[in-house]
Amino acid sequence: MKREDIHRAWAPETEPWARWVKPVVFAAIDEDAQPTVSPETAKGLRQSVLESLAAVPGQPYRQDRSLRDVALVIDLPGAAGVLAGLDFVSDGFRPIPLYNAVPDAFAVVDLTPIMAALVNGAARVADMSVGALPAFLLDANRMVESATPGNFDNRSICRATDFPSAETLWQAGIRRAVLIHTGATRPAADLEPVLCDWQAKGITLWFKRADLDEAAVPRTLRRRFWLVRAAHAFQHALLNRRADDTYGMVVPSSSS
Amino acid sequence: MQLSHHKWDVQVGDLSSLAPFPLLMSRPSWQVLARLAERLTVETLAVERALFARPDLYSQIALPRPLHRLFAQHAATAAAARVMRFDFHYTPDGWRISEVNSDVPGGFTEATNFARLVATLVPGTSPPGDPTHALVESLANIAGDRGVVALMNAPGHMEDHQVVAHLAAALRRRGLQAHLISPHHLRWKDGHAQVETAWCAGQVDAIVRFYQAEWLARLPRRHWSPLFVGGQTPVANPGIAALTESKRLPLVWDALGTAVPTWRQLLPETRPIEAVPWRSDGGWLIKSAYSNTGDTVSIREAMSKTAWARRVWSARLRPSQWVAQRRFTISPIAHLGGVLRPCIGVYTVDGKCAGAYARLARGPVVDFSACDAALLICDEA
Repeated sequence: MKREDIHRAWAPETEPWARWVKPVVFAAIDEDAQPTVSPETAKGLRQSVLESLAAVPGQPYRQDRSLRDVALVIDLPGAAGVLAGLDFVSDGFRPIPLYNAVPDAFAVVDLTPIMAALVNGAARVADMSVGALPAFLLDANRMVESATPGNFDNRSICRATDFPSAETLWQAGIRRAVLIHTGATRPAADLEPVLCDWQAKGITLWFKRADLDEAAVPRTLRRRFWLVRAAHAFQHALLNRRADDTYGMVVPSSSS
Repeated sequence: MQLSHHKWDVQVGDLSSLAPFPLLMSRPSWQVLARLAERLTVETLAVERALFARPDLYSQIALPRPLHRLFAQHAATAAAARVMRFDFHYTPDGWRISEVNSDVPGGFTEATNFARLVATLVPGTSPPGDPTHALVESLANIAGDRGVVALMNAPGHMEDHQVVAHLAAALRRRGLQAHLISPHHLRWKDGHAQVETAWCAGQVDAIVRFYQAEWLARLPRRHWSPLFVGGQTPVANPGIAALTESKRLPLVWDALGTAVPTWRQLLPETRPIEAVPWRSDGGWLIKSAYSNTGDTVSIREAMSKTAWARRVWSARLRPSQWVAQRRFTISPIAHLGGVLRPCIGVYTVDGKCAGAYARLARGPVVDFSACDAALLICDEA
């Protein structure tokens, strides 16, 4: 499959949400890449999220099958995010890959599994009809804390400008956003301000822990205490490991 | 553009960064800009040489402190190529420039590939030049047809990484070896640069420095000083470019005594912020001496109250790092019920005009939210 065809499958010109697909990992895929395996799926996750969203609050015996007001944000490590996104395709969600790190053979964050999953899943998203709902895909490993010395530091963060604005989501009829993540109660520190902005515009946030057998639940997200936010900002500064405004470099060996 | 031409930031929030239409310019108009850019280059280099010999003026242009003693004691490292980009704006009074990107101008793939692709759709037009080709040829002349070129950037910045990835691909097509590195990969032996990474090692024949001088100055000096002075490996752009990158440069023109008639003709009045009522008079904007993509250009009416208050606080805290400039009115173009303000960045490579990088600002400032447009030259009137 040609690299251009793979990219076109994930980011068709006719699909409004596809404008936000990040191209950098697609640019690093081989010119002629072949799928290796059929995409795996995680049925339990999908079922749990959909059932929670369909239940009418306060009326447990009725269900609202319409999901036309829902956007997903899938923040799972490595290829798990792509696979989860693909699993929602049959329910009318288009996975929008927001992987924005530079692939490299010596990279801290290995993007190879993500790239392989994108190749493998291209055929499935290629058949989607226009007008799907967005399922934004992030790599939960993007800010992994441990970095092996000598490796190329391709860690990254997500920003509000990587997503559609809250206004755009609202105008598209999005009223609920579901974060599917793992390992923590709160969203990742870089994602939290984005979700808070959406919430401030009236979009209800739902949360689903992929590593727990529990339903997706709506919850009001409150910004962290300012001291905690300051600590996270400091952590980003440490990610640089230097005094300028940049991050990303070869992780120095302890002897150098 | 995204897959084959290293344009990875095509969407910024709700905005596309590529304009779906070209900017058209007549050839005579383009020739005017080209001549102005070449004259500005001559004047800028003359100022640079004169200023290098005047350490007493370094503080006035807010040159980063680590560079002061360095420049005062050593000879400047030779240029592998010298690229500048002058930002032109058309106004009711004719052409004006807002600044020169003298240190690390970017936009090569947009100016080269985007313009070329759009030109194929617009009969009777052609791009004004190919800055990528001009730079690659200049580097090949210095490094040799099979030479080794190291391209240095801060990898965490996707906008910068796409620039060096584009240039590296062009160098490889030309037959040179190109390695993407960070400053920590460089080793220096008697001023000669060597690269040491897990994937390549050895001497390099030229360095492309896509890493702002003011950022480098914050790193340990052993990694970067030969990029500025005393280096035997030529650099594009050499670190001496930091002198003319400063937006406070006009403040020392008189002290230098170097003739800059074209600069004086085209640049709006530029003053220290202490000397003008920039907080109350909307006819002035302020910007920091060293900034990128217009991120510190500050106009009260274009900012939120909070953002303006922060900017005022920063400028008043360290006024020597800022400069005030008379605002000018850019002649806008109408688009979908709104207006866009064009900025034509004209490249010179080794003194010769080499093309243009056009951007369309949605507000009064050309900043990160501006979209790139293909500037095309009409061959017929």
